[in-house]
Amino acid sequence: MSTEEREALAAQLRETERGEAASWVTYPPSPWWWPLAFGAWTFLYVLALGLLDGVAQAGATFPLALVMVGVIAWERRRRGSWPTGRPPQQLRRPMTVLFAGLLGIAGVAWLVGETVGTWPAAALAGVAVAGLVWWYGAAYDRVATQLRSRPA
Amino acid sequence: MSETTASSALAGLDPALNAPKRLAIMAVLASSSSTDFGFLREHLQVSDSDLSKQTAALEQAGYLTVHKSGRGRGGVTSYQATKAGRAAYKRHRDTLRALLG
Repeated sequence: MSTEEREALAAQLRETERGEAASWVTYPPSPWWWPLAFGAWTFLYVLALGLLDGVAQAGATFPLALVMVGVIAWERRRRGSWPTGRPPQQLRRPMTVLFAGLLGIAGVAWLVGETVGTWPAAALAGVAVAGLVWWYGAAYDRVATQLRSRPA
Repeated sequence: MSETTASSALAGLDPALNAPKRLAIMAVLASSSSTDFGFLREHLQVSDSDLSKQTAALEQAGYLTVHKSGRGRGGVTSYQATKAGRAAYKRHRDTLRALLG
């Protein structure tokens, strides 16, 4: 294989790497109120779980679940491309922290709900989720910016 | 890599994906569930007509499917890689890796 052929193939390979990362790292900026909205949603969801029972609980949590489905659908359309498969290595850390953080918040909120009360648990979960979503957005943006600026 | 091994490896490269723009389109589609026209145009930095031409060639090869929703200014055209398209892309990329060691 000549040097020129090798360079052409190397350029193709770089293009595949750039293309595979594109859906993960190319997206419009998230609205500033994004973390607040997730925090408010969490607050309402924990309240519904803690204060209501039976049909009333289902009547409150079902619309909230529909709102979340709507938000995901809106986000898919806004991004223009919805990534699947394994994310780039550099994005795995903020994603892992997000999922571990959500599990931790759920555990602590449950504990507070059982020992102190539903309202403090909802407030704590809402504030914690808003903070976590804000941190995740900033961390994800930092990594995505680095990956986008890699030479093609 | 010997000349013989290199030539047999080169045979694994898909002619439909040797065009850089088509390869780039399949790279995006292979790692997304669905991607719209505007996203691909921005990623490739190409004109509408050029992108339409490239996607039509890939559709004809059976590597992607086109979905249109809505009409007029609010309408969205999106693309999805087919099973055959994903397999062809993966084969092409793996061949490139093997060739470049």
